[in-house]
Amino acid sequence: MIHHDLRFEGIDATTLTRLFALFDPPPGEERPEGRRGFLAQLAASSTIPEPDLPPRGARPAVVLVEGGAPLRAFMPGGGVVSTDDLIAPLERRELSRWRERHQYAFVVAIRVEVLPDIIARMQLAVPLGGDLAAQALAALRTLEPAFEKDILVDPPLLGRGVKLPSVELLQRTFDHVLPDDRSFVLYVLHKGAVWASLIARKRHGDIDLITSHLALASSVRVCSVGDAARVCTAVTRRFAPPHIAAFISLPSWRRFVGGDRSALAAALAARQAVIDPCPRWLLALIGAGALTEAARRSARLAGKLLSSTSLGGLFGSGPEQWVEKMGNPLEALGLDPWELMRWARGWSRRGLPLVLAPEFFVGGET
Amino acid sequence: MLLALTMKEHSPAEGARVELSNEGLLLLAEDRLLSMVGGSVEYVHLKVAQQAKVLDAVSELGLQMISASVPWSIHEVEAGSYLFQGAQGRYQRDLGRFLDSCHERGLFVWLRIGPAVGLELEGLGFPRRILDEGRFQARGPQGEPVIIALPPAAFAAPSYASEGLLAEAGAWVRAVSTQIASYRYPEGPVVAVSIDDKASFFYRTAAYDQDYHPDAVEGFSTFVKARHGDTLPEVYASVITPPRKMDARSVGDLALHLDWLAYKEDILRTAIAHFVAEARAGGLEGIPLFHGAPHTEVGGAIPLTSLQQSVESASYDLFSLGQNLAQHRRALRRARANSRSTVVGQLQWGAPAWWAPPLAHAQCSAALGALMHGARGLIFHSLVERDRWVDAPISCEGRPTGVERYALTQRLIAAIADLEVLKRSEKVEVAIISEGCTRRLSLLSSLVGPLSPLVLSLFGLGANELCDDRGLFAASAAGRAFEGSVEDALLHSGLPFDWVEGEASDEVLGRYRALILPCADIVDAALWPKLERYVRNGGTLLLGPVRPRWEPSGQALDVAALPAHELVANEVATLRALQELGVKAGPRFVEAPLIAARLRDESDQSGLACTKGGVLLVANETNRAVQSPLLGCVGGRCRFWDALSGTPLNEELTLKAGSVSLLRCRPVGVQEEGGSS
Repeated sequence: MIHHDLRFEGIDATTLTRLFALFDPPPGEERPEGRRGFLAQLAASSTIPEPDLPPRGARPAVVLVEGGAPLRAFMPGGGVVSTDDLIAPLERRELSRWRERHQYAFVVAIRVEVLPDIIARMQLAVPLGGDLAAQALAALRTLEPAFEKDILVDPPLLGRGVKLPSVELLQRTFDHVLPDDRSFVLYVLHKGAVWASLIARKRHGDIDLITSHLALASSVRVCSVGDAARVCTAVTRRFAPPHIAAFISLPSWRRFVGGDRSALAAALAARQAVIDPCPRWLLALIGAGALTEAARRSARLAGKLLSSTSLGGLFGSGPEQWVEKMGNPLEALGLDPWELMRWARGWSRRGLPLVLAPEFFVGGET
Repeated sequence: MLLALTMKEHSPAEGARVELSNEGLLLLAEDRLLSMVGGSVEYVHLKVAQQAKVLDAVSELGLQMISASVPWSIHEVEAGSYLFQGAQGRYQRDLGRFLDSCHERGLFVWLRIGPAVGLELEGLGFPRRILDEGRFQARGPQGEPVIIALPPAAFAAPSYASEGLLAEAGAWVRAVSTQIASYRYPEGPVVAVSIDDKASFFYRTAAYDQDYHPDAVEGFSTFVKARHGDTLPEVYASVITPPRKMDARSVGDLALHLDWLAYKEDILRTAIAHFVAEARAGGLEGIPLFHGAPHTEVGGAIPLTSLQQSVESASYDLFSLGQNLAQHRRALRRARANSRSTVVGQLQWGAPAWWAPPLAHAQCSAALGALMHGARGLIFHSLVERDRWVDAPISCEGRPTGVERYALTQRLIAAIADLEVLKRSEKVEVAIISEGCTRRLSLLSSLVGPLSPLVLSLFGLGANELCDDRGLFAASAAGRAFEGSVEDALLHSGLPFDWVEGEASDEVLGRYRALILPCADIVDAALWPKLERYVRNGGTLLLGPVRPRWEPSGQALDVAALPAHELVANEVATLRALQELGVKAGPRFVEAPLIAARLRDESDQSGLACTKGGVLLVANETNRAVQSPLLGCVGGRCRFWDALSGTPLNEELTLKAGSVSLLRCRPVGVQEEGGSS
């Protein structure tokens, strides 16, 4: 999935920062404002409930646990914090209460006694010479038995009952989402210019190149979604023909990430977005005709990353063959795309303070 | 004048072509001092047609020096066979052409020849055949390979204890050294070479994380016998085998664990010495060899002093995830005490594409902070954009990549030259001793097992967060708390101070009027004779918060045999003792005025003053904006300018959170000057 000689080119710090923050829109900009009548009602009814979001810029806390009792707690970059109000034995409910009281982005509690064994198991599991995604998946799989027992993450990193997919299934799904020798293109536009972009090329099953609009800056100037066709021509000539090429205005993107499931459909209708080429499953997912179905399905699956439909039973019987047959390839992984978006938004908010400078969170516009 | 004096007093070693000096490199063939300010330009990432344009752009920035990496994995064709022409896929191999291009333009080159070079390459530049070979791999406590999770793909760490690995890597170092020997100054542009990169067990410095490679396990036994001779500590009564977790129940048991960490330092020291010997045998005589180590808040993989047993100079490279001026300050103050050159061989300039997106002004503050605390050279890493690196100031086509980064780089380079910042220094009369046992005990007391303190320090975590303070480690924690209080007190008093390694020579220790030794119950026995000589020669030793009680072997320490000292229980007593000694708070100057001022907090009204024609480097390490009055010159009225922007400052300086400013001042009446660009 990720080539061992992955190449990055034509990405600057501004683009990179904006890509990092793509799933954490500034407060207030993710609301479906400006809509009237039926569209507003539709947007409101289909908006995914707000995830349990901490304040922007809030830092996480780590609790070291020994013999079931808190031994030490600290915030990365924020020093030691008191555990006087954490009651042993440390359980999830108590940890949640503590996190909410102190408004930590998230809390990780680790039993220090088992850390050496966990690390050793992870190291033994990582396939050498494999690609990074497969390596990360293998390492995470060894952690699965430790979650809830030796490592508590609050809020939970994954939904209850979620099983990590096999590498094979993930690869097959990935191949379906983005075939070989094709590219994925995302342009987010604002005020007559590109705000952020991502172009990824896939070859031999792996992403081998990641770049942005800057790599094409000398050959194509982009002011609006009307320039989409010229971008696709340039991407085809320079990298590989796009399989998915999405051009969307920043306000529409932020409403979409904010949970407004109708945002993309509305943007497409209003010519504030272009998705071309667009696989049928994606079109169905975001199209107005599919909106109701998507909302219904999402409601059914709300709160989980793992599909609770009969799809869950498919895992034991060759799920790979189901990937191509499904309307939405993510279903093979048991993922509801809307729920996935909600998850990405929540963990962007929680994780970004670890890697972005504090001043990023002051103001709002990136 | 300074150059003339230096050259007159100096007698170069036989065969020397380039030598280290306080302000840079002495180019002996032309009696010239080369300032060590430069940036990395990686020929492997530049097409041949781009190289000339890029080097021209570097010259236009006003730089005379570049650094470049020579990756083993790119040049190796098959085991023991290397190519230095043509290309391997998208990576260029033509080192000779690149060096010729540099020479034609008068650019001097600092090469980084590995075996590890970083450069965001898979395996940090080790060939895949080496990484995949089980007998070369480092081992964890349960015999597992040690996985380094660095994009673009995780790999198994090579073992620097493996004799097979050392032979393979040594062959590469010798071969590449032979290749570049004819490009040494003065015939060619190569004036310095770095051996290996950030020796730290591939950033995994935890005590029991590695290296349990069979060669290491065998070597530990030999090491212990050599270290203790006929008087092996009791803990070795049955068998000599490395500890795999902290299971000490008594001070006597700790001997095994302290020996283990001393041995791990020795693994790195021996490996670097081996590579240095191969480089010299390959023809790299007459030019200085360097090593850039990573700085960490807890422990540390190996002291700079130990590295300098083989390379001419070891110092710290500076990388960070966010802004952390305090960590950088500590790194530089250690480096200026212990390094022979205090050059930041890699100052992060931009970031890897998978790293935190960089902020140009924050990295500029990091550069100014390095200069403030004693850097005698800076190599911007990276100066030219390349694969997997974001926000370098120069593009592959030799053009500015963006307005802010390029302009900042240009102004900074100009200011360093115009204001002669590298020649300015504080007079430092006090040092805190960073003693070997204390450092090792902090590593041993880690609460997070195999998780690397070095990596965690990138997230702002240090001993307070990570180290146990109970039982056997209570005294160690008390020693650290004492050290922290003294550090804060010295900073607040404005008294310049360093951290000097316990391994430092008599000559280095003798530079200071007073040494402060924070004690952790156990102190390395090798330190006492040195301190005895230090005191005998007029130095003052302050020791606190309590006297040590044990030798590292677990034997009770003969307190009567300690060198003459004053016991200081806390920071107040320490400051009082320094005052009585006549070491005064406040800035002092050596050859040229430099004030390194650290603003304390929002209420800091102590003000900033300057000598005529002076330079101020002012840091705000807090997480809030700070304002301070500008009081003018000592003995007259002055005006201040921000040296980078050229903006005149009136009565007050406002510094953003976590930032550093470079100010220049001129007496009133002297023509006002703009910025340095």
